[in-house]
Amino acid sequence: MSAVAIRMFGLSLRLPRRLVIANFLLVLATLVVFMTGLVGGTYGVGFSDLVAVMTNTADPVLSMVVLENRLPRLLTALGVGLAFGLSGEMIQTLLRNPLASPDIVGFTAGAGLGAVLVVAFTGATAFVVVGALIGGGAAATLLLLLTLRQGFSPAALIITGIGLTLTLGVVTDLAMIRLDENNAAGVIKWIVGSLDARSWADAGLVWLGLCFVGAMALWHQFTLVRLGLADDVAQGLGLKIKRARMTTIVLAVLCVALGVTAAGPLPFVAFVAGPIAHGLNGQSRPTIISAALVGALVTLLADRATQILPGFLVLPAGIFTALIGAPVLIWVLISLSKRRTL
Amino acid sequence: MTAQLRTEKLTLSYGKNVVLENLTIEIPDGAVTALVGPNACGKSTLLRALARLIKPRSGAVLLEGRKIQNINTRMVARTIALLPQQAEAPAGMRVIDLVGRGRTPHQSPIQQWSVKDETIVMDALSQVGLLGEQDRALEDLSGGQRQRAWIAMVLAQQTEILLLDEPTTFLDLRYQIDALKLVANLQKERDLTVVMVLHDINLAARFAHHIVGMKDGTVVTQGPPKDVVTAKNIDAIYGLKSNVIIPQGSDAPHVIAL
Repeated sequence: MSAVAIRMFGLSLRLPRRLVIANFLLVLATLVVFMTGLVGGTYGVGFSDLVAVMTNTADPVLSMVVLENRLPRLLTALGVGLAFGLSGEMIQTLLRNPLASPDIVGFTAGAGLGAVLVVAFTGATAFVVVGALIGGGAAATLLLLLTLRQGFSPAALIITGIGLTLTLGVVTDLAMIRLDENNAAGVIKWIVGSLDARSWADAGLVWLGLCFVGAMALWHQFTLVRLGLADDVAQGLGLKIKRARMTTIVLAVLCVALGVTAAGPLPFVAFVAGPIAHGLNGQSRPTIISAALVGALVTLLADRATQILPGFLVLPAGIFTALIGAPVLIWVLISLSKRRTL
Repeated sequence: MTAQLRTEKLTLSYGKNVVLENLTIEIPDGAVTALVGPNACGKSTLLRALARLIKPRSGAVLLEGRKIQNINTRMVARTIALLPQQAEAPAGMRVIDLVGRGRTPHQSPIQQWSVKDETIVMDALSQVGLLGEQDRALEDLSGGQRQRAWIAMVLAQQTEILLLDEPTTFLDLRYQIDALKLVANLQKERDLTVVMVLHDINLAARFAHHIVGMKDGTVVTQGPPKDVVTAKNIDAIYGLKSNVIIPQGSDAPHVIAL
């Protein structure tokens, strides 16, 4: 196995060949799944119809199905998947443990609760992103405070985090009771995670956020890679590790909040992205681009599942991401216990 | 002429627990210094303070006459490299990635693999005898090879000062000698200032030019091996009765416990 060195425009990078190939295949697979979401379906759309829509010569109903229904939904799924994948990889690297993803240590549950509370008290969905941000940030802060005495040791963070996830789940259920029936139905999205009836507003929000947070995450990867080594090593290499840790947590919470706002928690997407990505690209943590792409692919596949399966199985996408996630969780647990690093 | 790295009335503590008190020492330039002493004597703590990992309670570590706490982390990392005890790398990490990390203080997010980086990393790999193994995962290497990979990482950092915390822990006897010979050769070749914490007084006597013997957070004795490694000092440092001999064909004293 070897690597290529990229040196141009004042930029220099070393890219292992397998990483490049894995990312290329992931992009390809993501595009294919994305396209299968645009064509076919109950309202049979063909490739020629897509061309017609793009050149503005299709009939209005067809245009509406593609442009107002399918495209925003798929773009939301894609963006949310990328965001969850990024956040998972960042937190798993920071805590040096694949079990420590934001959906397991409580960030996602916090963001979900924040979203639900905003809807419960204001009755409006306009400020959901603020609620998700505050909720996710508060959960992260709480987790750090509770594990301060253990020096943020990964074991303490994970066990406390699981407790936090469960507790926040209960609080979310309590908040549900306060809601009237209509609002409660609308709020389900932020509890299970769903991609149904996504609008351009959802897609726009998640992509606007991603433009900023994604760019910062790419820049931060240099630091994150070194943070994945032991603390003393990272410091010896000249890293300001307190600042580096803080930046990582803030970026991860931003990603989680974006994803939760647009599609709800979508359990396990953040968790599975990293382990699957490293299985494919053969690299050590972190490889944030591969992880983001796996997150996107998993989310799009879950969305496809909700659309393709027969009517009596119509379930929110969150159920399917959990179905994909559970076996990966078991695989990670087995491989960790084999290496005795659980 | 004062040493590049020294401490001045240095007091270190973990919380309220004072580990090291009022310590003033000079680390000889261009030589190997070994910190020895029983467990919990403060030798590893001192090494970490020299690497700027611990903020002194009072006093200071001085690098080129300046308080190390006041120097930018990155600038410190260009002068001092640290290899912590039993450092762990993420699962699946490859040798070349680890050694490449040593270039960090000379890199940035947009400059991660310059021609110079590549030359220096390859050079470090060949110096530790791992050229050709660079694409292997660290966990697939033997303990001795893995330790050499870590040494290559700190070499790639291209610093004048090298701090090693027990570089021989968990290594078989053969690899212990192997690792220390490597360090000794590199020191000579690059005229490095090396400070290492060592458990084994006999290895320290053989590989160090200067030994600092510590007990309970104070320096009991320091100097060249033949002055430091005496029956009287071994008793003072470890509370151990011993004979010190100089084996045939060697000039390093050797401790035989009674």
